[in-house]
Amino acid sequence: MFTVASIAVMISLALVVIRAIAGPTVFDRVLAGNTIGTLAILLLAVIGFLMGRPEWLDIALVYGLLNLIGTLAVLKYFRHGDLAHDADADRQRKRVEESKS
Amino acid sequence: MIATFLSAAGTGAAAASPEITPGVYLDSAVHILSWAALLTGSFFVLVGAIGMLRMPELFTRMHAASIIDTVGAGFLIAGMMLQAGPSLIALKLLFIMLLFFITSPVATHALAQAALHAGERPELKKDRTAAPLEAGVQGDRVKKD
Repeated sequence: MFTVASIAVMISLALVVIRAIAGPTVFDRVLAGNTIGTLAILLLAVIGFLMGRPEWLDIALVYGLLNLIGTLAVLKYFRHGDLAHDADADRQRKRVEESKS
Repeated sequence: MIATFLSAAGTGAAAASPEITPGVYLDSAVHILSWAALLTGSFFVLVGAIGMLRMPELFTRMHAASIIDTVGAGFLIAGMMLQAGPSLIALKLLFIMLLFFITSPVATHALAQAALHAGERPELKKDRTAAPLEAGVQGDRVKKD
């Protein structure tokens, strides 16, 4: 049954990779990347059970944490064009410009 | 797994066998439950992936991706937890499941925010941006900017 689950997860991975390559906007690709991360965690866990080595779950946990950070970083970069963007400073600058005009 | 079940059922008929304990039946019940959970999880993971491929635009694709994150991953991990039994492995699987349930909505929300900020709009069947807000049209949530 772990074989069935791992085959299903691998087929899903292939479909999502197709979406990541074909995705018309950059957000489709980010979404596909996030889902690839989720499916990779599931595949790690299932294959760990299949091989009788569930210690791989530690790697899956770390990968899950990195997946969230990576997605948020990429999204912030595409929203502001800058990873160290200060939204408060931006708002303050806008307010100053509005009060001038 | 099937072998365990069959042997339990087969010797259950010949009830006098000394090595049969109630634990055998419990074991096979847990095996069947975990098999069902793993199969359901595989099904929903496949459904989510097909949805991501076939849905027409970004926001519907996000819906398909969240099926993988909640039902697919939830059932798969529940099945693996039943296989692992009460141990450290089951605890780690529980942590992975909690991680999914907490981080996946956060990532989806950030993605929707970024997409709306960049000018992506959901495809609506009826164009609600044209309807004036002051006319009291319900459901006009599309921000004009």
